[in-house]
This record gives sequence, structure tokens and C-alpha cells, in this order.
Amino acid sequence: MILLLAGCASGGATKDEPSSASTPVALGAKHASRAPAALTKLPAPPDAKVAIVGATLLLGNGKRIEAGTLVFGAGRILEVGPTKDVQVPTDAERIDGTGKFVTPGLIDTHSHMGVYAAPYVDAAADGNEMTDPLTPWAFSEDGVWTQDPAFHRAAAGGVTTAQILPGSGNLIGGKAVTLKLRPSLEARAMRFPGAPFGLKMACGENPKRYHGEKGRTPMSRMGNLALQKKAFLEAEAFAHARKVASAERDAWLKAPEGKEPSGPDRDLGLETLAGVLAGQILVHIHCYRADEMLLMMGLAEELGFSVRSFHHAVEAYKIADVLAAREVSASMWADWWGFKMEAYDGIEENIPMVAKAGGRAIVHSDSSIGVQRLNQEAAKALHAGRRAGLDLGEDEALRWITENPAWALGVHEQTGTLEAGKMADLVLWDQTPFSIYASAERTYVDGTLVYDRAHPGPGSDFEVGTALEGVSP
Amino acid sequence: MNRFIRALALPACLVVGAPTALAAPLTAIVGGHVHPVSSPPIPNGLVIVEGEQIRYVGPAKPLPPGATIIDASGKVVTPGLIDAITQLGAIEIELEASTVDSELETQAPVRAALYLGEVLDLRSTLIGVARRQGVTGALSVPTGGLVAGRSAFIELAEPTSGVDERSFVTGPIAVHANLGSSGAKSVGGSRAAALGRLTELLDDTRQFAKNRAAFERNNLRRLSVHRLELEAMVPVTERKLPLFVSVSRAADILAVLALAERERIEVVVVGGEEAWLVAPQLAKAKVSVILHPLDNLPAKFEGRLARQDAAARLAGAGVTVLISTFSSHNAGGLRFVLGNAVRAGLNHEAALAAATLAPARVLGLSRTLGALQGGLRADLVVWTGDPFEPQSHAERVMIRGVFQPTENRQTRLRARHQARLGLGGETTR
Repeated sequence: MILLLAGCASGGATKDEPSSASTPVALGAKHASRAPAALTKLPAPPDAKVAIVGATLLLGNGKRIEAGTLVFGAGRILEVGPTKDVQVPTDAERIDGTGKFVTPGLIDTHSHMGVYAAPYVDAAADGNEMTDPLTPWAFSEDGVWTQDPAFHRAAAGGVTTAQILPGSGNLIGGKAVTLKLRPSLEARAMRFPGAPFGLKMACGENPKRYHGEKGRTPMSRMGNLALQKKAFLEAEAFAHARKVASAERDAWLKAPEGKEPSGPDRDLGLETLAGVLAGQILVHIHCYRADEMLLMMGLAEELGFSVRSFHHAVEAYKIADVLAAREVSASMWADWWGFKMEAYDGIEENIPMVAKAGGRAIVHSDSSIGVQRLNQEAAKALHAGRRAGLDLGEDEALRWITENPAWALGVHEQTGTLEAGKMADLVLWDQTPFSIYASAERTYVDGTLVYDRAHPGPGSDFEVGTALEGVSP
Repeated sequence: MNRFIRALALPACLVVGAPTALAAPLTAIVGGHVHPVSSPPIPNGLVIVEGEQIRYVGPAKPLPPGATIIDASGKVVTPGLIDAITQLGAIEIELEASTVDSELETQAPVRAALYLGEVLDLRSTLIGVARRQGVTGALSVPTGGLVAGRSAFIELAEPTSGVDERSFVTGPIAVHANLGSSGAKSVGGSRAAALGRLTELLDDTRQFAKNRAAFERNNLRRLSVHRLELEAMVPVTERKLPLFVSVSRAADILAVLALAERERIEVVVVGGEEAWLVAPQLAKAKVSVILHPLDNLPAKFEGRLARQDAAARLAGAGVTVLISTFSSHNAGGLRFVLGNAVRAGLNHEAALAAATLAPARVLGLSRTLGALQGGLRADLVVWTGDPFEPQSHAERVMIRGVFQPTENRQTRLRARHQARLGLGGETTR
């Protein structure tokens, strides 16, 4: 229990810990314990340098180098450039990249790996705390089963980073963690160092259906919005009380007179929402319809936070201009539509229309099958757009699965493009990743080889001792 | 009937000579890389369509007078794709029960009488979406229970005035059963019970078929289900309709093979995540498998040995493989699913067959469609390139000799908002 509480606070966050709601406030420390670092450690990235020579480097920032060389070591990208300009260190392992492609590691803003692990059995359904429509106190990391076979499959698909979200049964589902796909027994050890947490919210049909059927609020979109607003108004009052108490305590510390002032009691949920209002936690909203996205942007403006990304935004194309102007990203599928009423207006050109309007378009998966082929989804969306006269290229489309999701998760300064100094999160493809026939040959996370097609390794514990042990996904 | 659509296609076409009065319209698709599927590919091939039927497929030759010429040089011509497991026409919005006809909410495990063929909505918005991606036919399949009901094949043509649109639907094609955990759940929770109930049903069906008069006099032992269910099952026991069995685990697949042998019925394995483990037995029994090649996760406990190269492994062992999206809204993704099967080792031509000729044969329609050859129905697609690659698209989709509209509700929505936002404007096609 103490660990659980501590996981949601991070009063004493170490440098590698994501920032969190309660960081600035010492009040309530008597109830809090320091958020521990992971109890296990990932092996340090290998010091040995690796050079991929003569490949097409797709940089993820809208540019490419046709005959390029990339050198990395000790977990970082050391050099990226045309082969003729890059001095390959003599001690580097040389990989012949001729005819091959290198991209940044792919990033999925919307994953339930670990919290809805395969096999999809009730016993492993840990992503939706649907006992209350408002559960900002829940935290996806606490539900992650690290032996979900999907993690290894995703790495085989070139994915290096994924945000693990709570589900969409609740209006506020809880805090989300961003993981790097390095195998570990401990989700916390997989945390992306320094990444902000996310907050998962949901609009529309799911919360009102699930809770409404139980005869409780919300039963309608009216209830959805009102409850969301109520939660943030409470958080605003909570944050204010903490601020006031903090000032009182500072004054008391300077001149201790009378009883030491105590702040409001700790409240995990309100701390998380206060973190959102303080801009430390990024808001990700499951929201299909254009009108609801507009409603939520209005609500955010009214309450003083910003939306980082709308997820499953099948109608984003209708408000591509607004999303671009407000710098709200849209996380989308290439072509999923129609399975529910709010998805009925989905179109194949959604992603390219958002991109063409100048918005941050993102391909997301929400699926442990889809996460393995983000490159194909980007290719499908790109060519659907081109067919509709949207003049976009592969280099732009690659941003939908690299730089843009990195931005949405707040990790764009560390990953998402091939640039010297960034984390060595990258993929070597056997051919252009925009072909349906492309496969990742190697996936590196922090310079560590997490997937090698030639030696796929055992995958998760779940597959050990079965006919699939050592089979390449 | 088809003049309107032909007129749309005219600017890109040439008409040779004068059309013969009263003759069925002739269309010649020239210069394409033609994949008949039932025979080897033909570079620079010619396809001649007369009315609803293919008249000629082969190397270039002099064109008949009056033919509308479609230049397919640099392009690829294939039969229209067939998705063998969908609910097209039976579902508009999955989560809106009032738009779903493919599954009963009843507790009864046997629903063989449920036949979708007469209620399929040929104006469903899903049809145009799938068709735009080169899917010209689909099996619309009931779900749920131990025996879900009977499927119908639907040609994804646009209903136009003067056309007998009910002729787009053929069926019943098969009876659909669920063994494995979902079927087990409908009869109390054990696979053994599911197998037992299915065996009993087949036995009761034979009793019923043999003793109709006694049944009508109420002079027959008590049977496990009502008359309509029994009627629906009779063609299965007479081997006139196959029993499609959704099943995942290798052990359950072997149980299905044993059932088929014992009961002398024709079966097809649907799903079959672990079918690759029993490929030789499937090949020996000549039982086909309908797969979703993207399934490479142990999504279900009973399919925990699913692997991506299952299609290639099964085909390599001599099993007839069909590839499906198992989707309705995304049935148009069939070509990409096929591409993924190729990526995982399946031969390109075999992948194409897995969504054309193989389903046509397994659904009992190969005398009508499923390949490009003279005498078959002209359901075909002209692709701008490799059909499986995202950079290609279905430039022309012909069903029963008629080029279909390339627009659908989605393209209209897109155009409307594209214009409103001033994005792109011009369409390349």
C-alpha cells in the first residue's frame, strides 16, 4: 500500500523520475514516502559503438539522407550524415546498410500492452478501474504485466516507446506511463526517463454507456462533461488550498509561532489533476467526434489546462484547422471506422488531412496487433491522402509515427528523430518501411538490441517452453 | 443499367468501330499484367468482357469491333477479391443492436435456421468502402452460439434501377458452428459438451430427414431442436452445404476432423490459429482453413501458438488456405492482410488465390467467379500496381461487367470537408 501511494507521488523524485503533481509541495510529507526508483535495473547500454553504413536514413523530422551512415554508442546517437562525411570509428561494429533503411524507433501514443495483455483473459484485464467514472488516482503502470508477449512483438515491429494508457470506460481513467520497450520484470524500470505522465480522459459513448447502464452518472454526454468539469474544479480548489497552505507554512518556518500549519490531506486523484492544471501531466483524451473535441478544448480552456492529444480522433479531419491552430495533436487510426456510432464518419484521409492542415498527425494503434505495423498504417494513410490530392511525401508521413508521437508524449527532445545526442532508439529495415513487405531486421532501444530478426530470442516468459519459443514474430 | 457508369469512364476510353446493335456491351482491358489466378500470370495480357461475363483472357490479339477499350498498361488486373468471413450487409454499426442482424441474443445454442441472405442491406455504407479497395464479394456470416446460422455470399455491386439486386446474394453457402471456448460457453462451458451437442444435432437431423412423416405426426422420438433448425441442418448431413467451424486450438481442430470423418460431413476450419501444428492432418483430410494472418499473438488461450507465418506453413503442407479480414468495416483491408501473409513467407500468387479462387471453390462458387477465365462472371479489378502495396490502389472495380462507382460515403465526406477547409482541392483520381 505504501508503495502504491508512493508511486503516485513523487515528492522526492530522482532525476530519472517523471515529474508529477506533488513535486513542488512539501506539505503532507508526513503521509508520503519517497517515490522509490525501480527496484531492478536495466543493463547499461553497451559502450561498444555500432555504425550502420550506406543505408537510407529517414530522419523522422521530414528529411532523409539517401546514402547515409549512423553511428551510435553508450545509448546515444553519435553521428548522422552522408556516408562520405561520417568517419566511422575503427572500433565500431559495422553493419552494411546498403539497400536498407534506418528510421527512428517508432512510438505509439496509445497502447494497452501490459494492462490488457495477451492472452486476453479476465484475470489479466487491468486497464479499466470502472468502479467510478472518475478514477484519476489510478495509474496504468500499476497494472502492467511485463510478460505480455505483445511487448516483444511490438519491438519486432520497430516500436521502441509506447504510452500505456488506462482504458476509456471512465471519464478520467487515470495516469498513464510512457515505457521504453526494453525487456524487464518491472514496469517502473521500463519508464521512459524524464517523460511526463499522461492523464487519460474519455468522451462520448464508452463512459456514458458503461456507467449509465449501471444506473449511475454519467448516462449522457451532458453527464460526461459535467463530471469532468466538477473533477477539475475540485482540483483547482485543492491546488489553491495547497498553495495557500504552502505559503502559510513558509511563513511559519521563518517565524514558528503556534501550531505548525497543515495543508489539505493528500488525495492521489486531486494531486494528479492538480498536476494537469500545473502543466506537468499531459492530457490525452479518447474522443471521436469533432463536436466533442471542440467541447473538450473549450472545457480545457475554461479550466486552465491544454489537451496534448485527442485519441481515436476519427473526425479530426473536420476540425483540422482548429487542431493545427491550437497545437493539439491527433492520434488516429489509418482506416478504422464505423464499429460504433461515434466512429461512423471515419475516412481514409483523416491523418493526411490533419497533416496537410499543419497539425500534428499521429498514427496510433490501441491494439497489440496494430502496434506491430505502424509503418504500414502510415503508408496506407499517406497514399490515401495522395490519391485525394493531398500532396504529402514519405518523409512527412514518417513523422506521424516518430517525431509527432514523441512530441505528444513530451519526449521529443530525447527521441523521435535521428539526431546526434538523442537516445539511440532506432530501427534497421530490410527495405523501405512504406512497403507492405518491409520487416524490421533490428530494433535498438537506448543502443541496446531488443529485437534481432536473425536471432529473435525467447520473447516473454509466457512463451517459454512452447512451440513458439525463439520464433520470430 | 450500366450506361451511366460507363459514361463516367468514357473520357479514359476509346471505342473501336461502331457498337453492334442489341449485342451485349464489350469491354477490352488491354496491356495489363493479368493474374487469372486459375492459370499463370500474363504480361501484357488482354481481358475481354461481354455483358456480365468474361469472354477472353490471354495474350494480346486483335480487338473485337465495338469494344470499349480500357488501357491497363503498367497496371495489374486481378479477379475481384473475396473476403470469406465478414458481416457485410448484416451490420451497419456493431455497437448499435438495431443495425445488427448477424447474431441472436438468445441463449439457445443452436440457431441454424438463422439465414442472413434475405435481409442483407445492399445499400449498406460498408459495401462501397470495401469495394473501393478491390473487394467484390464477401461471405456474410452469422456469429454466436454453438451453431450460429447460415451465411450468404454477397456481390458488392451498387444497386441501380432496373437491376435485380437480390441476384447479388447467393445462398445459403454454409452452416456456421463454433467449437472451442465460445461454442463451449453456449452449452455450459466444456468443449466436450459442445462436441456432444453438435454430434447429437447431426444425428437428430438425420432422424428428422429420414422420418419426416413420423415427425409431422408427432410420432418420432424427441429431438434436441425445433423443426426449422433441423431443416437448416439437413443439407449439411447430405454434404450439400459445408459446416464452417470456428476453432483455434490444434486439439480442437483434430476433434473437428474426427467429427467430419465420423459424421461424413464437409467441414472448413475458421480461425485456426493453431492449424499450422496439424497441417498434415488437414491436408490429408482435404480440409481448408480460413485464416487471419495478422494474428500472431496468443490473444486467446486456446490460440496461444498463433504465428504470423501460419498461412505459408499451411500452404506449404498442401492445405487450401483462405485469407480473410474477419472484419466488415475494414474488409477493404483484405489486400494489406494478403500482403502481410506474403511478408511472412506466402507466395504472392498463392496469397492472391487465398482471396479469389480458393474462397470461390470453398464457397461453391467457382463455376461462376473467383478467377479470370472465359465464361466466368466479370468481377475484376484494375490496380495501379501491386494490389498488396499501400502505394497502389484499385483504379477500376468491375462487378458483373459493370465498372462500379469509386465514390462512397467516405469519399463524399472527405470531399465536403476538404473543400470547406481548402485542403488539396484537386483529386488525383
